[in-house]
Amino acid sequence: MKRRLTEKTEKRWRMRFPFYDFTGIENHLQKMAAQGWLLKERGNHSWVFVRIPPQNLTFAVSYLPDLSDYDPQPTDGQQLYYELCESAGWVLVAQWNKMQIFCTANPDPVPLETDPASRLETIEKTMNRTIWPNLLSIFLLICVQFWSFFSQLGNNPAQALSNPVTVMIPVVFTLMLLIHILEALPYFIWRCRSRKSVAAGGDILPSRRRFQILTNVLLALAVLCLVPMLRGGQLSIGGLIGTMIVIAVPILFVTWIALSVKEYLKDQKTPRRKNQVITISTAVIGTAAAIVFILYATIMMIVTGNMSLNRDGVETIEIPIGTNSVYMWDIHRDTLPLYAEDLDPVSYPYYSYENDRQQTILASYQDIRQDAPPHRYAADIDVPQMQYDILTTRFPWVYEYCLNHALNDQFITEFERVEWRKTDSAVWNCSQAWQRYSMGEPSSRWLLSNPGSGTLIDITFYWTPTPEQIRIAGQKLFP
Amino acid sequence: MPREKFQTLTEQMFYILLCLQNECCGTDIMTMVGNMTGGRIQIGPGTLYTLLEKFLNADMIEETKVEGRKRSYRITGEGRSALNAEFQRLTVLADDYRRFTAYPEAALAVLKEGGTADETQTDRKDRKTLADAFSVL
Repeated sequence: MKRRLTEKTEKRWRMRFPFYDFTGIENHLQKMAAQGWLLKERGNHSWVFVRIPPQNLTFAVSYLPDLSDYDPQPTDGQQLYYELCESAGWVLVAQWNKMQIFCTANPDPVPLETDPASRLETIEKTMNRTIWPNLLSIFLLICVQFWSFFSQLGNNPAQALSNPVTVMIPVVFTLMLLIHILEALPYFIWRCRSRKSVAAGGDILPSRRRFQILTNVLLALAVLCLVPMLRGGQLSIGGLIGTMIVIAVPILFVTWIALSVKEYLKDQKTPRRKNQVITISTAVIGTAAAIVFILYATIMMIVTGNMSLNRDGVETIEIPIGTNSVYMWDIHRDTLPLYAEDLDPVSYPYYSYENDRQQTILASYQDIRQDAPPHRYAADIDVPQMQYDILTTRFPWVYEYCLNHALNDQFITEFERVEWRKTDSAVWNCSQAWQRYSMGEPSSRWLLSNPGSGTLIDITFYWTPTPEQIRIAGQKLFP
Repeated sequence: MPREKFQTLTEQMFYILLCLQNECCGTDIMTMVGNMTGGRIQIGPGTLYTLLEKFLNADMIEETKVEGRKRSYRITGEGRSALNAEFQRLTVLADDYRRFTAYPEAALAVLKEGGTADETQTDRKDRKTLADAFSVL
């Protein structure tokens, strides 16, 4: 339990009792009252206590499964319930969602619940309306994540398997599902044992906290999985913080708007169904607007250079166009395994050398390009440019999958024919090589495979290299 | 095997329906049941609320009056049938108890010979013995 002292007469506690653990909650509240703290209200994440003279109070927790968070408060059913409880000497202390908490100073009160079977049935009904929706929603989220992952795997496995975010998100969501299951399992065990006890004429059994250590381990694992997602990403620290602000602020704002609308409608005694429709519509529209804003803000940040990918070592220069305008050109100065200057000793001041890296435990991927500014923005100089991807895998099955996917990237129709054809690999200094052909004509694109080192390279030259240049390139790429 | 809903009534259900043979409000039921049973049976407000809801949904009681937060109820025909059925069931239990407690050996002997429960008290040679025994009781 954690506590944060806000005022001398008020205190917040974060209590981790399961929702159905009425015995644990009642006993704890009784102890708190004996120490001089009375429950004032129960929020989503913390319980608020106020100072009272220490008293021996008896607490009772009950559940109203038909209550909804969208109901105007108090409902007719709640009013009747409170009337009955008051007549038996019970005073309402706090209520949260479907849980009502009462207390009495009577040392020998009539218990709030006197029929264990009825009480158990009520708790089951309440839990069915909370546990299953939670499990179902996270299960659906997982399905969406896995669908997204397999879609990316099908489109570009090299990038998908080397992207920490793509690989780790399904893992994190699976861990979250396991955590939810472990939190739900004790309830089902307790329910089963209590049903047997009540059927035999006994009382509902106290609940036990199970799987706490395992749950904490899984939670720690889920947090650890976030580390490679942050470290392996392509954003700079500033870019990462900016991204989190751009995403978090609209989401928090939309959430606040939706909750405010719900509470306002409840105060106006709006019927439940109408409140649900309006609140959910507000949330949907707000979310759509937030997504548009996030996309717009992200694009603007990238375009203006406020959230660039790997801005370290990037120099922005102005290339004059005509007499009055300039063209802004970003020059990256990353280290490349192969430069155009290795093949053609040209000296050109506006070359950009870009190497975007990402890696996971399965594979590492480098998206490399050596570019010059577009011709229309620079002097009319034809300089060699090239672009190549280097995939290095750690497992043979990953390598085979990526190679097969790359080779299947070809299409042959009646009017078009784009394919890979095997070519001499010795000149490339690798095990296997394929050249891209379009309508029967060779292009300047090659696929190079070296299973021994787990390396797969897809290279495109924007000129036609000579055999000597190919030999040098092979030496550089496969040392 | 779990009991079917309302096939048999718990004591608390039974006494609630008993009280509602006359119109009364929910808050009075708790007091009345305690008085009727000499404090043996207590109905908590939470349990009373749940059972009143169940009875309303099963059309065994009906709401007759609403005065502010106070609501009054009365038993319906459906509820009376359930109450009567429960009474009959309890009566049968009581009869069986008397029958098989007073002369258990004789009664069980009839049953072992393939007789029925009714025959334990009809034209058998033990009838006189049973009649004498009952007269003693």
